[in-house]
Order: sequence, then C-alpha cells, then structure tokens
Amino acid sequence: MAVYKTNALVLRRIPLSETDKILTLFTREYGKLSAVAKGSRRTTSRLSGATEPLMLLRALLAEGMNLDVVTQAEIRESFPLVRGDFGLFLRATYACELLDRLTVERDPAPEAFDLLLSTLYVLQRAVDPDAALHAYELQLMAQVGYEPRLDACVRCERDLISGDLSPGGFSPTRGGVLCLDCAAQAREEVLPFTLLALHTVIGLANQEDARALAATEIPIEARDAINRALRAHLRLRLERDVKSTAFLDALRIGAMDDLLSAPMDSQARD
Amino acid sequence: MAQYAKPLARLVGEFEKLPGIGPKSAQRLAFYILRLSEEEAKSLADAIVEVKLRIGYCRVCYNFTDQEVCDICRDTRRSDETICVVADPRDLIAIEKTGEFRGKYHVLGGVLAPMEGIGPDQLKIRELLARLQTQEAEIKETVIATNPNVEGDATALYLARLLKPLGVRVTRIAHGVPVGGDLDYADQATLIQAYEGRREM
Repeated sequence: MAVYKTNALVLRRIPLSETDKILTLFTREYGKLSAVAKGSRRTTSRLSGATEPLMLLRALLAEGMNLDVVTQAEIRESFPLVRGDFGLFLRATYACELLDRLTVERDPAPEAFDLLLSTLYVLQRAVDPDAALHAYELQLMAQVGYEPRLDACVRCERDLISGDLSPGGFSPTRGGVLCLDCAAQAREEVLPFTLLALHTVIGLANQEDARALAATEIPIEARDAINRALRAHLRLRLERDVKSTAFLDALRIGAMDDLLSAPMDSQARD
Repeated sequence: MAQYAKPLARLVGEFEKLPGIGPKSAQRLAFYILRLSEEEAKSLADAIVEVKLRIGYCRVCYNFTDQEVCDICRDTRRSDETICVVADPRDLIAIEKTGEFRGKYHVLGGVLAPMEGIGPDQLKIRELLARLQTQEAEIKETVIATNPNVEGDATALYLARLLKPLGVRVTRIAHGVPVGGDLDYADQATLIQAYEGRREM
C-alpha cells in the first residue's frame, strides 16, 4: 500500500463510527481529498486533536481501497486565536466551507490552499476580519472562474473604473456591476452598489499583501452593500447558500442573540 | 433474506438497523433471542416499548426522564447555584459518574455546527437563558462542559457571550493531557491547552 506525505488543512470532519472520523482535507499537492482517521475519536488517540477542523497538518496518508487513511499527523498550526474568538471562528468556518464547495476532489489547487492559509493567518491579526474574508471570497472566486465583473458594466461593457460613469448597482444574475443606465433598465434584481463599494471591492480583490490586508478596513457605508452583493453573487453561482452564512450574517449585524429567535430559513430548506 | 423464515428475517432486519450491527451480528442476536424463554423475550420487548413510551425530557434541564422533572433537578441536597451545561445526556452521565459535581445540569441537546446548519435555535439555549433569568434560587456559576472539539468550543464561546452579561460566572472545564497519558504522545493543540490552563501548586 502506497503512503505519501502532504501538508493538509482539515476543512471538516464527520464521525464515521464510535472511534473513527472521516476528514475532508485540503492538501497543497493533491487538492481536496477525503481520508479516514482511524481511532481518532478516542480520547487517548494521538490523532484526536490533529483531526479537528482548522488544523494545519503535516500528514502521512496511506492509500486505501476507497478512502485514504491518515496514519500519522503532526499539527503545524492550530490557529488558536481563530479558535478562541467566536467571530473569527465563524469566518474561518465559512472560509473552509466555501473552499469545500468550490472545489472538487483530487484536483490540485495550490493557489487555493495558499489563499486559505494566508486568510487564516490574516484573520488572526486583522483590524477588520470582514475585509480579509471578502478578499478571500473574491480571490478564490477568481481562481475558480466565478469572479464578478467589476471593471466595467456587465451589461453594456462601458468602463466604470475611470470614474466618468457611476455604478448603478450590482446584478447577481449577470454577475457584476451595472452602470446607472443599465441598472435603471435591468429587469432582474439589482442590489445597491456605490462607487465606494466598487472601489473597496476592487481593492480587496487585488490585495495580495497579507500585512496590508490585515490593516484594511471596509468603510462602514459600503459594508452592507458589499456583504449583500457578494452573498447574492455566490448564492447564484453555487445554487444555494453556504450554510455557515446564516451565522455570519447574524454576527455582522450584531444580532447573534437574535439568532435564537430568527428563523433560519435558508437552512431549514436544505 | 430468503434463507430465513419470515419472522426471523424481520428480526434480523431490525437488528441490522442498529448502530455497529452488521448482518452477521444481527443474525447472532436474532438466533440468541430465538433461544430465549418467552418470558425473557417479552421482557426485552417490553423494555424497548417502555423506554419509547415513558422517557421524555425533563422540563427543567432537558435530561431524559420518566417524570416531568428529573431526579437530579428535584434533589434538594444538590446545589442550585451551579449549573453544568452539557451537550448530550450521555455527557451528563459521564460527569455524574465522577460523583464530584453536586449542582444541577442543563442539557443542550447538541452543539452549534455552522457547517451543518445547526444554530442556537435547535438547541436548548433559550431555555437555559430563561432558567438563569427566572429561577428563584440565584444561579452563580455555569460550568460549560461541552466536548473539547471545534463545535464544543464554539458553543462554549457563544454561551459565554450570551451568559456573561447576565452577571453569572461562566467557566469552562479544563482540557489537556489525559490522566495516565503521555506528554510525548500528546498533540500540539492539546499541549497548548494544557500549558495555558496550568495551575499554581
């Protein structure tokens, strides 16, 4: 049986039996893959801590009949700051879920791996964790080809960056920004999207410097528009909501306590 | 399952639905039951029916009970000042077996799992809040004893956010190296926790 070593981030884990877990790992070399961690649900297992979500591992895997088996794992980074903060934890969980949804198994995507990893590091010291998260969303979408059109009106192709023309809104259906004229004529749903929101989003999509990203703050006036536009854009591309967004939304509007009474419709449907 | 007589096939089929029971074990159990006296078999069947009919949730702590309020909640010798919050009735039993804890419990019925879409509304969190706000006897401390994994920790963080403003002391059970364990075999995340939770001697 062939064995191989890889760096892997644990995206999610589900219990398999009383003692085993199935992990969804994202590896730098092989992309996403599922693997069994035998005995890892036992308290005394050496793997129990390493096989938790959000752990960055150096892992030894053995090829199995169906699923590969994690035979050894050493924690390289456990992101304790992310784990210790509810807001950061929710954002990191969302980041993992999004990557899981946007990738297929065994399709190497080293850029996506690096992006998620750097996002987790940035989250730990970000002034505005949402800036880090939206930059991640935008850059990950660009990697898989789902990025929204931002430089020009998605309908009439006229340039929106130079500032001669104002954005009139964001069309999730068309997947991009509309100019004022097109927004007025559009028959599909158009979300409010200001010039400030547009510039902020373009800045985030192109920000590759982790230090600068950690210091970036989304202007308060543009926050809601960016959240809504990206959410709607992603939902249409993925054909359903990412499950952890309901939490994130509640957290952003400072209504975590209201989660108790808020009906979680999007989830009930799944 | 043509090789079994019909009633036997049905029993084997039912056993196979149980967790951890494969076809072979199901067959073994079914044949064992076949050998039991009628009395013994009836007693087993009754036990199954009874547990389904009589066991419900305690009105106060949501532990399993056959009464309206469970024995622990009604026990006046136990302190009302401390509530131990657990995810599952099995966790309650585990803590109860230690004999160390003399307060009351609250069973959440699960943990927050953002990726599975399990939110606070699916858990007995609202009920916990109500308990803290209304119970006549002052509750001074809530011990959060969810599992030391991602969901358990997230649930603990969420509860801490929610409960602290009420002026209750919120504590979390310690995690670290297991008793009889080996430092060399402990993983980095566990050791960090153990180090951070070190105690003055």
